[in-house]
Amino acid sequence: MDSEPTPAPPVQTEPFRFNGSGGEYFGIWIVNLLLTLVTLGLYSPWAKVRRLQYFYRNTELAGAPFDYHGKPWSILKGRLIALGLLLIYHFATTYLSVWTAVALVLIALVMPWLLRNAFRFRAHYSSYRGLRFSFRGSLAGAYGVFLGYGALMFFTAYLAAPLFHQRLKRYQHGNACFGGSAFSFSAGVGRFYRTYLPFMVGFAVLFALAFLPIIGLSASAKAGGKPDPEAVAAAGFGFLAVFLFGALVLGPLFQAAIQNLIWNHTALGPHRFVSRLSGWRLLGITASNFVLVALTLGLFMPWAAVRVARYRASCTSLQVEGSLDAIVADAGVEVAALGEETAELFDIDIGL
Amino acid sequence: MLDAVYFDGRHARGHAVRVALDGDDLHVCGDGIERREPLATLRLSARIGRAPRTIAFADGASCELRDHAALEAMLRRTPLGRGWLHRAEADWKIVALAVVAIGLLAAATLVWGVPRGAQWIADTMPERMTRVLSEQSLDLLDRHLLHKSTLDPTRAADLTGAAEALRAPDGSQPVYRLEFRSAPDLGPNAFALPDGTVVLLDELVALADDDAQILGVIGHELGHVHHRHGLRLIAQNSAIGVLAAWWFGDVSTVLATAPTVLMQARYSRAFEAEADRYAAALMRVNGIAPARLGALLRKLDAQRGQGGADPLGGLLDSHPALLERARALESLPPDGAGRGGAEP
Ligand SMILES: [Zn+2]
Repeated sequence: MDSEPTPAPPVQTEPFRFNGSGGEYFGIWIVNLLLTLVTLGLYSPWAKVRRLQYFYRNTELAGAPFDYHGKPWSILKGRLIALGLLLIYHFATTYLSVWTAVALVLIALVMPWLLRNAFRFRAHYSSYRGLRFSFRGSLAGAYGVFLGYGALMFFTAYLAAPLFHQRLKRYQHGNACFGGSAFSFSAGVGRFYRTYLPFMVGFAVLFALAFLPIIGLSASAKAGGKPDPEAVAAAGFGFLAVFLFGALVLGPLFQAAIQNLIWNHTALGPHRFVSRLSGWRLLGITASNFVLVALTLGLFMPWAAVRVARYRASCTSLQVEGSLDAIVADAGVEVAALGEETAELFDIDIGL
Repeated sequence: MLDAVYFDGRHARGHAVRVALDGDDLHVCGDGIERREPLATLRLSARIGRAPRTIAFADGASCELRDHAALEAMLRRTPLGRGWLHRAEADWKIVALAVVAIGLLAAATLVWGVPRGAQWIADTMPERMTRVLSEQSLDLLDRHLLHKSTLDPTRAADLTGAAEALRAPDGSQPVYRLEFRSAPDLGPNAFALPDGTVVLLDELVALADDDAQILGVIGHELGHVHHRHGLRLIAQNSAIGVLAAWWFGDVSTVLATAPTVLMQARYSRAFEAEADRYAAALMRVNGIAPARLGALLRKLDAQRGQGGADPLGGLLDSHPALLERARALESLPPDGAGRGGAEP
């Protein structure tokens, strides 16, 4: 796109770095938890802001930290709306009637608007080097992605999941800005299908492995045979083993592959992101986290979160062409002050 | 004097500056920047761990500072310097106290809060909903597990008559409906639905030595109805499921399912014991020795031992060990003297 003169600016690799520590985060986590419990959950938006601030401010790129400025009151409002939707959904699906259809349609119509606002909220309240991020995706785009491709995914039994994911990331990353500098997203649908394919096959095989014994058992029970207790127990254990394998082994491998795909095709202006996560390293970290969290009844969770954040950051970098100093705020900064007001009035943050 | 990085809010370029307090003003200078702002117009981000802190100016500019000790020393006597949250988070004594408090809270919730809450839900559940729930459950069971009873109609009528003559421990007529079904897959069993329907399986009638034992089983099932165990178990499992998902949700859905299974075993053990106590009281009121039910449980246990076991089963099933329950029933006095033992 750029018609710059040929002498290319020097490219410098700036790594992301996460400086948080598990012990330090444990104190923040436990105080958050206690305050949330004694306020019967009302403190949870404040806890969320503090948690995000810990992770943002400890993440550094080129010597400067990120920051999060979310307003707890807006988050509380967003949570109340989400709770309302959840209750509507619950009651509408408990007693099947005309209202079920009405509520589902209503929720489907509101959801894209909510998700777009969530993207805007998250971007608007994130900053780096004193400049805010922003999200400029159109409302029509949100309806296209979440209603159009979301429905397509649903009706194709998740065969369209890679397509939906690609459209979602194109909408999310392709419409984000840092200051006056736009992000871009360049991974096509084909790449998403290539990355997804081995995992789709893997999950399909797992699914079959998990359900075949159970189907077999119920078939034999239908035929009048008495289910052998050992066979029932074996089927149960088999189901659990397959489920664990899927969640603990395929999950991290898939996450690493998809995160690499997404970030290796994301750029901020001329600066390209590079993501070099190793699925096996991530697998080792999440599996050991799982064991330690189970053994400590959950007390290890802060260390687990910090370990994952540190590994993710250590594998991500930005190929800076020239200097990040050149990035300036959008021309409409004066609007930003007003924008913040409207963001507080209308924007909501639903936990994504 | 403090080192800081200054951002003007319009450019991503940072400026190395020095920050100092000058009366009620903050003075920022260096790298072409020279600003003097009243402290009242500034906002200082709360300290969180060792992460850098930000002083925000009213026009969108900001300063990033990393020397926490020096910053706090400089601002100690100003309104900007307050902030108790970080002190609590970084104080190991407060953190240890928080861990203990949360542990106690969790234990109290599981042992006391969830059962009480479930009791309240079960007590306030409208009669109509209980009936619909029970009818749907029986309908589901009839379609998938249960078959028509092959019991001799006169035998069934006799049992129904004997059951209708039963008095509850408080002397009233227990409200229930007796249903006969057969289920070779389940083996000898009986179960109760929340609306008071007691389902008796042919296999149990065949196993029992006499009507007294069957009436004991009906008493046990009426205990489940009386204490609303079915509804309470549903409510408790849902509550534990929600709590576990909230607690472990961030890390793993697999972990979140484990507590439900573990707690269900604990809760249903307590329910069986409670139903047995009710059955014992009911039997004594009706002139039957509670040990008769104990004898049936022993027989059931012996049959299970021969490989007749089935892990699916209803409420009269495996846990707690049948023998343990039989011993508890047999240790009770045989007459109506100790009637008060019925209530938990
Ligand atoms: Zn029982």
